[in-house]
Amino acid sequence: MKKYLFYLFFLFLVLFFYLWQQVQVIRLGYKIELIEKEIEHYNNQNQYLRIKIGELTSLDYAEQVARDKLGMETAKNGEVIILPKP
Amino acid sequence: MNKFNKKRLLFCSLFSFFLSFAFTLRLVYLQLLKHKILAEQAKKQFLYFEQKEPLRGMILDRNGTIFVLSKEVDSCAAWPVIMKDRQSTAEQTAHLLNLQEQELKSKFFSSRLFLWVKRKLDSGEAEKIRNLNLSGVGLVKESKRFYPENDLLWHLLGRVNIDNQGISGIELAYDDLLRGKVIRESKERDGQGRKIRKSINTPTEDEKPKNIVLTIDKTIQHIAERELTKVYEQVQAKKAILLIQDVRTGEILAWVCRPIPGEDKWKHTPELLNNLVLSEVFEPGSTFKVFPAGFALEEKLTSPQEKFFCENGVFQIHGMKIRDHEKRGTLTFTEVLGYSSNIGMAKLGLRIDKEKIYPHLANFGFGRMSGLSLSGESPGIFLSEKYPQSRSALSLPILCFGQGIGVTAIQILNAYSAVANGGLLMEPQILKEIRNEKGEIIWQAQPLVIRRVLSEKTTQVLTEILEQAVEWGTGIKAKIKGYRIAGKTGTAQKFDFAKGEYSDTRHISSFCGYFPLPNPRWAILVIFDEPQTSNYWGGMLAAPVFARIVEEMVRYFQIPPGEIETKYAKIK
Repeated sequence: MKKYLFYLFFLFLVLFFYLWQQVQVIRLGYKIELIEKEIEHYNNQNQYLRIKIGELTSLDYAEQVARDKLGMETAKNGEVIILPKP
Repeated sequence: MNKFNKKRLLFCSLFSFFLSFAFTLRLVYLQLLKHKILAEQAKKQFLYFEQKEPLRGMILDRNGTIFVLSKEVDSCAAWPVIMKDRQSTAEQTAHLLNLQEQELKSKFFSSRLFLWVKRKLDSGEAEKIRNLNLSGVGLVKESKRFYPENDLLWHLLGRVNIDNQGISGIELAYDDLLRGKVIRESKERDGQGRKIRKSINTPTEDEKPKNIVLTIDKTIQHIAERELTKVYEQVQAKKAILLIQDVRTGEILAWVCRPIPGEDKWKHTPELLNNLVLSEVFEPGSTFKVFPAGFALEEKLTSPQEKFFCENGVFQIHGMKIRDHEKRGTLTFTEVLGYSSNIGMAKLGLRIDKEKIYPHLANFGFGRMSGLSLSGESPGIFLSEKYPQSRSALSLPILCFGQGIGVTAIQILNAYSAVANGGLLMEPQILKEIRNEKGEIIWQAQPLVIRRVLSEKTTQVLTEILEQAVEWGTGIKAKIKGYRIAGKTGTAQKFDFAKGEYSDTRHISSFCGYFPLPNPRWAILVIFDEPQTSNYWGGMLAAPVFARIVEEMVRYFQIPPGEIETKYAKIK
C-alpha cells in the first residue's frame, strides 16, 4: 500500500511540475510580448532621433542658419590659406 | 444499514454511474469523433500568425552620415463589415484625414473585408484617428523611408514604392540586402485577447536587413549640388550632370543629376527616375579629344611640339566642312588641344590606324557597361568599333574631335581618371561597405584595376598638355590660384534628327579635369545639356563650376597650395 502511495505521490509531483511549467511558459510568453513591444517602441524612438539629428546636421540646414541667422558668407578664394602640414 | 438506505445508496450509485457514463460518452464523442473539427475551431480562436517585415536598412555616406532610414509609422485601415455607422464613420474619417468624403463613402459601403484609407500618416493624423476610436477604422503599423538630407543624392539613392520595394537607384539595385526577410511568427491569444508568444523566431544574420555605406562624401556632394544647381537654374539647362571620382581607387565622391522630380511629380514621370549619369548618351565633343591624342602620343604618331596647319578655321575633307570656333593658322599639337582645334584633331585622325584605335578606345570603356550594378545603364553608342562596315572615310577624323560616338558621363569621367592616375582604368565604385545591424562590416569594396590603357610616360605628357589647356587654353576659367589643374573643355552641337544635321542652337557644354597636379587625386566632370544662354561654351559655363568646386574641395581636404607659379608661359 505504501509503495502505491509513493507512486501516486510521485505521479502527482510530475503532474504538478508539468502544470507549473505550462503556467510559466504562458507567463513568460506575456512578458516576452511586452518586452518586445517596449524594444519596438525604443527602436522607433531611436529612429526618430536619428532622423532629427540628420535634419539638424544636414548641410542645407547648417548653411541656411549660417547665412540667414548668423549673417555668415562663403569665404572667397584667397581668404582661406591652408598651411602645409609640419 | 436498513432497506431504505440501501435503496437510496443504490439509486445514487446508479445515478452517478449513468451520469458518468453519459459524460464519458460525450467525452469520447468530442475527443475521438469530433476531435479534428473542434481542434481546428479552437486553433482559429487562439492561434494566429503574424508577419513582420523588418525595418529596411539604412544607406549612409562614406563617413557614416545617414542618407536614408526607415521608421515605423501608422497607416489608417478600415474594416467596413464591422462598422456600426458607415455614413458617419466615412464623414469623420474624411474630415480628419483631409480625404474626399464621397470617395470614402463608396469605399465604406462596399462589401470588402479590409481596405486602406490612407497610408503612412504623419504623427498628428494618427493621433487624431487613435483618439476618435471609431468602430471599423484603425491604425496599422508600416515602415516609411525618411530622407534627413531631403533631396541630396536623389538620383543615386533612388526611391521605394508604397510597399517599400526599391524602384530606382541604390534602393532598387540592393533591394534584397536592404529589405531583409519577412519573419512569420505563430502566436496565441488568451480569452482577453492578449498576445502570448509561443515560439521565438529569431532571423539569422543573412535574413536581417543590411546597411549600405556608399563611397559618396556628404560634404562634397552638398558642394557639388549647390554649385551645379546655381548655374543649371541660371542658364535654364535641360539637364545637368556632375560627377567627382577618386582617380586612384575609382570611388565616386559626388553624383549629381538635374532636374530632380518633385515628390508629387515623380510618381507620374518614370523617365525622371532615370539615372542620367548612366542612361544619358551624348556626343562628347572636345572632351573626347584627349583619348585619340593619347593614342597618337603612345604610338608616336605625333609629339607635343609637332606643328599642324589649322587652315584658318575651315577645312574641307571628304566633302565635309570642319570648322574651328576661332580662326587659327599653325599650331603645335599642345596648342591644338589647348585651343581645342577640331581641324588639328581631324588631321591627326587621318594618320591614325583605324584597326588599332577602335580597340584602344574600347579599352577605355567606351561602348561598354561601367561595372556599376545600377539599373538603366546604357553602354553608349560606339558602332564604328563593333561594326567595321559602318565606318566611312570621315568616321575617324570626326571621332578625333568627339563626334560619331555616344558616351555616358561615367565613361568619360572614368577614362579621364585613367589618364590622371598614370594609365590604369579603374572600376568605378559606388558601394564602399555593407554592414550588419550592429554596424559590423561584413563586406568591403577593394579598388579594382580593369586594365592598363596608356603608359605612364604618355599620361605624363598628356597631363602636361591638359594643364596648359587650363593655364592659357579654353579651360582657363577652371584655373584657381595656387593649384595646378589639368582639364579639357567640350562644346558639342546636338544632332537635330528632324533636320538631319547638327543644330546651331542646341549644345552640350562640358568640362572634365583633375587635380591637384603633379599627383592628381580627384577627377571632376561637369555637363550642361542645352543651356539657354549665348555663353554656352564649355569653357565659359562648365569650367567655372569646376573651379568653384575645386576651391571648396581643397579647403575641405586641407590641401595646401603647390607650385603657385605655373611653369607654362602664357602664349599670346
